[in-house]
Amino acid sequence: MPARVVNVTAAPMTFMERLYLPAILKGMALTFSHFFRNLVDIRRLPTIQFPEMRRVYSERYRGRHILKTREDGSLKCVACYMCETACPADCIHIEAGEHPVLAYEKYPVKFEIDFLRCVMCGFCVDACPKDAIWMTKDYEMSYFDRESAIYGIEKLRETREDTAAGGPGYGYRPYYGESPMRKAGEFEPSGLALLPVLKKRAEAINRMPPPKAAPPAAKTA
Amino acid sequence: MAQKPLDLPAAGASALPVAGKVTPPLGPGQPSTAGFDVLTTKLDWLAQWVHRNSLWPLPFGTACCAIEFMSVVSSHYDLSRFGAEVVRFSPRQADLMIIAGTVTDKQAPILKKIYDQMPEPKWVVSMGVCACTGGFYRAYHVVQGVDEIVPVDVYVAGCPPTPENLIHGIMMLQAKIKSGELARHRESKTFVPIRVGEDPRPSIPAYSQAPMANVPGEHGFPEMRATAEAEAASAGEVKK
Amino acid sequence: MSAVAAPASTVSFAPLLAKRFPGTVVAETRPPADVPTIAVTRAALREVALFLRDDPSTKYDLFVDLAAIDTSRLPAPQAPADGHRFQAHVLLYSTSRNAHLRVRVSVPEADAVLPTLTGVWPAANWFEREAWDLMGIRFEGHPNLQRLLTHNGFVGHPLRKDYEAAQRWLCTEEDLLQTQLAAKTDTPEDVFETMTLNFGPSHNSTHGTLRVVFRLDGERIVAAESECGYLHRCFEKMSENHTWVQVVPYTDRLNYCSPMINGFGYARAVEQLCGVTAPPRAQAVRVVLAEFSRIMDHMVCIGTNLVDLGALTNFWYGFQTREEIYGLLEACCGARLTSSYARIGGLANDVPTDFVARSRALFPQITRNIGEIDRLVTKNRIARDRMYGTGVFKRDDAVAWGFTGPCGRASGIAYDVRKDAPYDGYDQLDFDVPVSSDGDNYARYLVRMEEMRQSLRIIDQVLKSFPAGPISTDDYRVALPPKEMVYNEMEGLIYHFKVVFEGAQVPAGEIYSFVEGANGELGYTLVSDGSGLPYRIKVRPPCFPLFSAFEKIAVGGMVSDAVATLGMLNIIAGELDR
Repeated sequence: MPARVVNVTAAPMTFMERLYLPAILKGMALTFSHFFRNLVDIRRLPTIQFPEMRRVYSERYRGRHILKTREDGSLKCVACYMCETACPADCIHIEAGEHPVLAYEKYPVKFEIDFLRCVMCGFCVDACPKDAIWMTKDYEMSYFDRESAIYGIEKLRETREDTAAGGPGYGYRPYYGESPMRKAGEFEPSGLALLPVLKKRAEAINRMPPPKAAPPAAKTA
Repeated sequence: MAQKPLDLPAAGASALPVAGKVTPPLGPGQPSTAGFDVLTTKLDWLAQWVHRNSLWPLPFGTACCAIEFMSVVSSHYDLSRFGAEVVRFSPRQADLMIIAGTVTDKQAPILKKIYDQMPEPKWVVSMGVCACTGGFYRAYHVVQGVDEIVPVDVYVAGCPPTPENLIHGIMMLQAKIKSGELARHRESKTFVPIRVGEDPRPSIPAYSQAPMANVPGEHGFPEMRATAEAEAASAGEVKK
Repeated sequence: MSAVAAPASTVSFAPLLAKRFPGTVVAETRPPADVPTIAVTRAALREVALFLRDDPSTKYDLFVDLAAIDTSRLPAPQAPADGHRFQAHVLLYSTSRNAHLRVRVSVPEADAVLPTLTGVWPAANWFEREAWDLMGIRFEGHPNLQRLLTHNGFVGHPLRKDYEAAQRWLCTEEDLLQTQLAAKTDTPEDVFETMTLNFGPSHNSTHGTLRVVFRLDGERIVAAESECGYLHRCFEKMSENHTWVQVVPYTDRLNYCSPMINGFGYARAVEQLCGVTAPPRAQAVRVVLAEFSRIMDHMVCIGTNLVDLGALTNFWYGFQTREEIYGLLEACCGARLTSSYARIGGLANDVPTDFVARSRALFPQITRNIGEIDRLVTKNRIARDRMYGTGVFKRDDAVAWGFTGPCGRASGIAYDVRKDAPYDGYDQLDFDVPVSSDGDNYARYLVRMEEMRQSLRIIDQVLKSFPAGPISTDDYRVALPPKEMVYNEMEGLIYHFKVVFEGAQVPAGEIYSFVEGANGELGYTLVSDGSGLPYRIKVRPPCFPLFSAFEKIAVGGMVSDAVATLGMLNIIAGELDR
């Protein structure tokens, strides 16, 4: 396609523009209209009143990690060190041990993630061949000292509170591509499950027609 | 979701001193003054209330976390709901330094200077893993945690932390202020390197081994100085 | 703007060079994805450079990059034939012929000196300082060969292969920039008449950690000296001890206002080195998200710059746009800002099923915000007086100082990588490129506003014909196979292990690949030695030449104009210092 160049060199100011007041009054009209509209209809306010209101993140959100468990309660992790190798921040440290059950072979004696090094990239989740480490939507990780940011197995193990109503819920998980597991609904791409106050706005936006393309400026080839 | 309870000593647990027992003036959970006067403790309570509800942040923003900090003060998350709207870039007028972003070795003296210029009481929130520990930059020019240089009150993890996480960190700081720990009595922390698992990297001479205050005297470590002299001798005249 | 065909892989004027410089210049053949290259001896470098800049059949007037490479650890088949340790790759661009050129010079370790090119292209100044600082190549005749990115207490040259990556040096306050500004004034009396003002690096108007020292006569700047490096996070050294895919999170932190563009540019460079193409769906998603990132970046630039001028409202409106786009980015990859979404051969995972609808839902909000900022600022006399005629940098200067991107286009350089060297399907899209001839801050503002509208046009077109299909290549030597293959097939598991443990199998070679970042031409020079770890990655940051020219732009204006200029140049410290 031939390159099309639009000249945006500024034109000299007109008389009305040289007067300060018209532009300032127009600007104030804009900001005051926002003010009064927001005053009248509180749903127009974009503010998310944390911690009373919480933004609902998508099903891929990369938050705190959890170690998944099998039905008998043992960790799915077999201490293969793939996540430790894949981590760009070297924040995962694992010590392997031999598992008495032959089918499971190995298990992590120690599995520590230093959350003050973790950059939340999700590479460990991508690298795990055993579906053993997922991430949740929990993002509240603030500490008073460095030591309490190192989570061991007890803190990382998946608990019922993670998936209970009101809990953070699952976030980033291994990507299944076109597999049947995805179609069954276990991997659910983002839902538009917004907060009620924002949901109405989203619905109103979705009802709007898509925008017209901007009028082409100079039709020279 | 239910917030995990913050493990702080209960505020006001020892609000009134026990007669005949000398209460130490230092440490969290202890009243800041050893006064036996109800009026003084009420004034303390008032001071704490005022401090925690009108923190004036100094955003020491260096990198990507500064952009998330800008999101925090923007309309979607709005830090002014916590009284911290007045963002002051002059350290003389601020009391909460939010170190948002990586601090490099070149920036370190500037961070120390700005911190020193802040008047008491002051608090420090280290935002983002780069400020807390150096993050994934285990590199030749990155300070491995600003607590090598300044004492940190709250470490906020994330890269960058979501605005809600930062607000959660500031709420934790507010709880800490409420518990009665005043900044001037806080011991400046000297960071002890934590070895998580087997860390094969060589030990790096860090600021933490140097004294906190600007003590005149040796500013080099013996092994570094020897290497520096050898380099200078072999490299010739152009060292700068 | 010329509508010349895409750059060729061979040097078209090779016979001319052979005639003019017999024996000292050799034209090399490179793979088609790479830029044309000539090899030059040290002694002839300056003469060849002058020829390349001035001769009508070459006319390489824009200095793009200087990449210094330490070849001491390259395996035998790849190691240079002459055994010299260092190589300097000078990358040039011709604005009239739309052609890139790489000039390769090899430098021995014992006598690591090159003639400076600052007399030929002023933009080379800071690039050479960086090569001295990080690699230890001295440049003879350089006006100010001091450390740029590391501090003055630093010992050694960190990008050399024998430098331990984690070895730090203490920086005390005496090691920070001591200016020689007194020497830059005309008369000795100026020492009494003028005042030195330090601006940065912890300052609300230096966006990020930038530092400039001004010498002021009243309110007017008579001399300026700028310094960077306060955010030098050693991206290039970190990339040498991480695998190819592990570098992707580091690229997010380069230009952190539009993180996805860096990642996609890097992934594209590695793909070209591997000979792998991302599938059409991945390319379409890359275009959409890159354009959204461009809108985000311009919003931050305009918003924060106007805050410096006193207009706070646009900052809130700009960040509202940003938050909406964050929602979309977070739905795709899981994080708002540091996305780590790019992978070699495609993307990490597919976009959500409602991606097209969700992207379209953003259009009214973004259009409204752009309109609001327009209403508040464009015709406002105060904003106009502050920005019009300030920070003027005309075309000739801009080309000499290496300007690309919106700032270059505002000065009249009609160069946009999306049009002139299209990638990811940009050549099928219909959009305009705004160019101005004023070269002042107001022009930069207008160019950015118009670019945002054009980005919406691009996104609209891509969404109309959004392709289906896989999101990642099926070449599993470089990309992770899908999980069902890993869980069920032995082959999948082996590929998975190899990519994670050893790194992607990128063949040995070199390439320079560039995309249109939000600030200009964002280029990556990659050197691979065939192992799973990059041998050398050099980033060509678009705002590096912009900030190096800031000293020149600011002189003659007032401090307030310098503040406006610094904001409108959009210097992102993460990209500037890497």
